[in-house]
Amino acid sequence: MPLYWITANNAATTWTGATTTTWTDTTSTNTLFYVTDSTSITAPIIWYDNVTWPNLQTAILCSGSRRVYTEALWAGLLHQSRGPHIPDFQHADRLASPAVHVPAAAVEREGLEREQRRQIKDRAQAILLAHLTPEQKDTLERLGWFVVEGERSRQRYRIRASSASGNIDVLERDLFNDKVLYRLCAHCDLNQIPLHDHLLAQKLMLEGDESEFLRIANRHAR
Amino acid sequence: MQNEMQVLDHTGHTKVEWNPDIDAEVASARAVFNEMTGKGYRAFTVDNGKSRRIESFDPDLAEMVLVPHLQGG
Repeated sequence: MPLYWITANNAATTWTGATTTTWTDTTSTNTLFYVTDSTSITAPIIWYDNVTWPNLQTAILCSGSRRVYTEALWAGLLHQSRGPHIPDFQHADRLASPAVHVPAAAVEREGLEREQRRQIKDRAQAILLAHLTPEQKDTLERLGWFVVEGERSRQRYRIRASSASGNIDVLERDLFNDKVLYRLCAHCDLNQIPLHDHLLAQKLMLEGDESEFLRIANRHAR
Repeated sequence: MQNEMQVLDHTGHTKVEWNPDIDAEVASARAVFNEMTGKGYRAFTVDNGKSRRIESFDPDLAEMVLVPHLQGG
């Protein structure tokens, strides 16, 4: 089995540009690599600063002329490097599985699906932002939540954007006190619409049909 | 004047537009409204940042949002 490392011989300043980076093996004879979501193939061991790669279970390296990266791996890169540059990989890695070639069609399909997911997310985000006040946009961007006021009760609800489930905090009525009294959980089918659509649905219900929302929602301790 | 209805769905949302002075466009938008509310969607109109639940299609409303059925979690 050959030993591999990954060099950061790129001047890429964006993640898109980083896909042009050439990763080479120790003999500099092959251009690497593939990453696939397939879980049916034994994952290789990759080292980065003496720490095992964070997405081993989804990462596969193989020889080839194409370079494909899963979102999970890029998320790992982003997390590890905390910046747009690919980090240096100075530690040799042992390829634990035979080279696997990912068909070009599958690669293209994955790329298209990723782009489609991004567009859907952007569309949902855009419609939510279009319905928020400047103050709500501000707290969403800075803190990851926004506050709405109940249509009838004038109760303040804090909608957290981290998820669509159990994400509504019922706040103390005192405007200067953000103590959470309890939490509410009500959302659309989680598989039906993207996250930001859920947040908009929750906002519209609380502002436009609060009593119905409260009838539907389950209540949880804070 | 072009009014619009946004239907939240798996694409992020789908926009339906109509001119209230053109009967065919109004009929088309009304059909979408009735179909979706028939499936359990709730309709809201939004004016000056405030939303209000509506039960029937009003072609003169500038903006509506149709929201899929919510359930407790």
